[in-house]
Amino acid sequence: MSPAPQAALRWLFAPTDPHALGLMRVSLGLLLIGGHLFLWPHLPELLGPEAGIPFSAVQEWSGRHRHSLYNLCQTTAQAHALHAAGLVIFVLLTLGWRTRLVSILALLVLVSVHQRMPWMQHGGDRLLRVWTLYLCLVPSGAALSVDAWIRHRAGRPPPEVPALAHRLVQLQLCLMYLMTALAKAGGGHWLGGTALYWSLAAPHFQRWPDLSEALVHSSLAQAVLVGATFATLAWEAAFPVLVWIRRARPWVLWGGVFVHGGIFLLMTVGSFSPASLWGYLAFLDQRRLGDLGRRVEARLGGPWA
Amino acid sequence: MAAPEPTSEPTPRSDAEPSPQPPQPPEPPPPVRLTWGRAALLAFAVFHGLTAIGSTLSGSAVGDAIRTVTRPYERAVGVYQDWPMFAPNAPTGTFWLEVVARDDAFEEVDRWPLYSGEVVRSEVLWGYDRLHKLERTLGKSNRKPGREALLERECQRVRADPARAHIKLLDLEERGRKRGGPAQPGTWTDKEPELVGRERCRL
Repeated sequence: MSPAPQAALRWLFAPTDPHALGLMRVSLGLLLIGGHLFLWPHLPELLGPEAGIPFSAVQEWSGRHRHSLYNLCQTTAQAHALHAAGLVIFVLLTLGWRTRLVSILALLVLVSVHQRMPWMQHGGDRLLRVWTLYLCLVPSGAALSVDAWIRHRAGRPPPEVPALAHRLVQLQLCLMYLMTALAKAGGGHWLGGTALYWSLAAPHFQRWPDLSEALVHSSLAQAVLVGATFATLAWEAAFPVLVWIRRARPWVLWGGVFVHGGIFLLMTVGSFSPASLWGYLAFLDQRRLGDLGRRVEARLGGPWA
Repeated sequence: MAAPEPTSEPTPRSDAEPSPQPPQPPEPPPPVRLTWGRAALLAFAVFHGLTAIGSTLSGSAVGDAIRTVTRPYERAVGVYQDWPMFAPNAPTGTFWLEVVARDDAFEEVDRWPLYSGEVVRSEVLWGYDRLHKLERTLGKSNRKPGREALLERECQRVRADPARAHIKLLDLEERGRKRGGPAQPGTWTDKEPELVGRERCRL
């Protein structure tokens, strides 16, 4: 095979550290569990058969192609039972039991929620759905999992873990930042330096209203927010390029931690910040991340893989 | 058989000191073979990438042409690639939906929030006000089926209450408040109420 296709194949399918992927699976599972639990109080109104907006209205809006497991429920109790089953699936994904099958079922649960009520979803929901899809493509239960423990006891070798999921996560993050930077470049708030002021000033996004109000009323904080607005826009535009340069990568990723951490601390935008930061794991040194996973495994009585 | 030619090199003795070897370059990794499994994954990755490009270029001739093929998959999994995130502009205030009850003469006789009304609250962790998100989304023009369904439910509640028999019509209004810019962050102005839905409760 000529060098270019071989390089592409190597980039996508070269083996990567199974313990690093195991850590990614566990952390994604915890995010899914958290999101699922937070959705539960709204289940009767948003997902159940007696919800304010019936499934037929959503289909009327978007076409008959929509399908959702929640639409099979005849009573709210059944919807609760389905939601509980979804929670069990996310727990099994976190534990790594029958991981390939369970990751596909986890995606089915997430898609069912999305299909039943797309109008209450946010960017974090979409990211978690895409991350779960990528985990379906690789043996994410190769390490740090019940599967690995069973395999070890049976004396079977662990499967090889290709880098495919990592690559797709990396490309998805780059595309996301590129698209949002392009969209923001067309807005007066971002080019005028007031976007973060307006974002913090919107009452429905304020996590700590008193703190946000103090910030938007302070002329010093407003000046900082102007600088932070331009810095955020520049960072988002630069991310898709600089993150591929080894020496610039730590700075770009730390910039993201600062931006998403700030959003998470000050604003209620769902799981968007943790879901974005989860994607950063794909950019880290997989051997060092794997070492962390091996230490966790040793604490649990491993090694198994 | 002919005897091997003697070489000028002395035969190394097994007990001889090993001569220092120059550092060897690292072994090149073995080539990655394109198996059937990898080919299938590669095909999926290419299709998924094509879907992302089609979603990204949505509205253009190229994007729409790609989406004729990729749209069912994009919709089914919900892998849209528009990431607005306060773009192009951040919100300048807040809004919510209110139900306005009217009598035979179209006079307003009652009013109540569709969900929780104006929202000012703090959440912890990644808690998220899904109902308020739903309200914000329903205000968009193409969510009419959703607004109609919610108004119809409000009408059913009105019909079930004899004390509200005078209510003949329900309007759904989008109300809101816009705040002042950085020079006047403490000022708020009411947004002009906007009729976004209407349902007749009694004929």
